[in-house]
Amino acid sequence: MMLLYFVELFELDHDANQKKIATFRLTEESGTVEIDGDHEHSIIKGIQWEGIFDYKYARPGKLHLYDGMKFLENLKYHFRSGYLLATDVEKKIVDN
Amino acid sequence: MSEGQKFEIPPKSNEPQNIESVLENWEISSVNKLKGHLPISVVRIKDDGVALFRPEATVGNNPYGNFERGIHRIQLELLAYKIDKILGFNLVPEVVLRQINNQNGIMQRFVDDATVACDMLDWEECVDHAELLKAAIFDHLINAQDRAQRNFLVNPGTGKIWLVDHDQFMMNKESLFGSRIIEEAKQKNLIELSEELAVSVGQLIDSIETLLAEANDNTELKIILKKIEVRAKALLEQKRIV
Repeated sequence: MMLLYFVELFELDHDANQKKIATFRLTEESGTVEIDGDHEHSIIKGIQWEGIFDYKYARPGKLHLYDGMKFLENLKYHFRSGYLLATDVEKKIVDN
Repeated sequence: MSEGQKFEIPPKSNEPQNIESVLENWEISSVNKLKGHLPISVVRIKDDGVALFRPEATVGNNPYGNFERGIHRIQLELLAYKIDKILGFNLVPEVVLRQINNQNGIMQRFVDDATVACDMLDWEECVDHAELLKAAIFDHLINAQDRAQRNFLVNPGTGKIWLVDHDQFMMNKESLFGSRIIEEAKQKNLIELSEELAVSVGQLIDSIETLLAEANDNTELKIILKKIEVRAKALLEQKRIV
């Protein structure tokens, strides 16, 4: 058993229907965020290549998947328009 | 009404209507809260039109702490729309105040004919140059600090731009991440203020006093407006984005 932290990312299509495009997952053991979703999606590719800004602490530079929890907790600030919207960091217990 | 056209005046109405009045007054057929960390809902208006509703922040539900600082996201979204309207740029989708399910908030027209720029491979190639210059001027005036590619939409067929997400990060930070729109405009050398655009900026300067009066006792909103006025005057003097 281990703790899994995750953030879901949703987008609105042209009919304003929301669909999930990715789940960002972090386990206590790995330290690097993994992405469940279409890795060819341009938004996912962009995040992987460019990283995201650190809104929470307004630190210079970017956060990447390997920044683990810091990356995960900034996704909700990164995606907040409604057209793209992330969840808070949630957690659940999963089997190893 | 042509197929797919939104917010057209209903045939039953004899009164002149516009998108704002439809957003403000029309009967709502459904409200669906989006999944995510912010309390945003998709509101479908009976017969036609879709909008995004953001309720006014209350203590405890504001993730960015701006309620305590005296300024609300809905005030910033409204301000951005008012500025765009005064400039006559048509870059910010219509925003109105409305109460839904006993919550005060803002309704903003949902843009259904454009794509979030970060979901496009080549927005820089298909964007209309006149639109890009206007958007760069708008971002320069509000000192946009978070205009990343996820905070604007582009219609890939026409190159039309729509600017969204005017919150604390965008409009009330001195030094955050800047504007990708301004970067691209500079790269394309679209920085000169034409006579027509100068008239628009002049209209904004002339309207600042009215906007200040509408800000009532909100000191923080007034500070933002004063800064916009300073930037607008400097832009008129320099006649280019620097």
